[in-house]
Amino acid sequence: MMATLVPLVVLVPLLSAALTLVLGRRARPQRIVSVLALVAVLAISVVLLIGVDSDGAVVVEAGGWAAPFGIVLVVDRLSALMLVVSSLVLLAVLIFSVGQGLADGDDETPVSIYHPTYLILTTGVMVAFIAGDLFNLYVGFEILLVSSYVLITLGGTASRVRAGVTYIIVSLLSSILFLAAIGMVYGALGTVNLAQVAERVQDLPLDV
Amino acid sequence: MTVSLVLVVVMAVLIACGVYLLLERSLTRIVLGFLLIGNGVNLLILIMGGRSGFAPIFDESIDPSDYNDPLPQALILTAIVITFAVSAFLLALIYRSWRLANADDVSDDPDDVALRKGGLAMPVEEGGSSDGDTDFPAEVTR
Repeated sequence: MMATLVPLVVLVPLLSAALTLVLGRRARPQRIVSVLALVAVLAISVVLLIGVDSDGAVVVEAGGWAAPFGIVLVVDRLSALMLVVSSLVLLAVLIFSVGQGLADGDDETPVSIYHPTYLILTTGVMVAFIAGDLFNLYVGFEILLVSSYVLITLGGTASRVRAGVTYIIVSLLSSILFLAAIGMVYGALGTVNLAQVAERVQDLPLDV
Repeated sequence: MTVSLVLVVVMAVLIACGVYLLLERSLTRIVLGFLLIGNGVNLLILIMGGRSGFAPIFDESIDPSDYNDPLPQALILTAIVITFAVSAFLLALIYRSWRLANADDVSDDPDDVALRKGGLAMPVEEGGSSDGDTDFPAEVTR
């Protein structure tokens, strides 16, 4: 039962992002869907935290491939706690931004894009926290970063673009460095699975 | 681990040129630099896969140690897709920046300029946050 909940943390925001994109310019259903999605993610995270705390870590092999070859999703105490904290913060920020948008009556920024992008950002955060290997962590980070690029330049006004360009270039450089580091870890250890990395890094000769 | 020297040299040249272009102020050069570094890092991952071998498609007549390592290739495929998406977004951003300011430079932030000129004594509010939102500073035109 716990194993079926783990992919839902990623799937619920991702599918809701598609749904909010379909809902397009109808602002009220969009808000309801995205708030409900984040409430669901928060509830799943709390259930996962309670379950993991009593029964130990949950490992899901995505696609049925065994651990060293396939992608694994791992939820232990720390990652479950991070899921709860981040989904709580994301929900609070969403409610704040919905309230702020209503207060401003802001027609300048396209609201039809905001909710799908925010939910995809949520997906990226969740993927990054439950990733069981380094490359999946990189993919989660990249999902998160690209949607944050969209959010920071939302509306495309001059001040947003000017502020966004610096942020985007620095993030691009850091994600490229991250990718290069993953490549070198693979060259040194022959694996990107985090559990195997932890085992093999002890046997690494000192001059590598 | 044996690697091809040609691959290492190509990777080094790509990353060096990419870093040089990324340090430029022009946004189009930054995109070109990003693409070069991205390809250089893809080559790095390929090099980390070890020596070359047969295509990793199962065949009973081939000894398992003669196959190429398929995992770096899968990683590179994913990295190429991500680089593609990010560069598409960057190109859209540059186009938007060009339409807004008719310049593809990374412009100075007015608040930063005010802080630099006045030192620490000048308050940050001096840059004018109310009118600074509407347009780029005038000195970016070339």
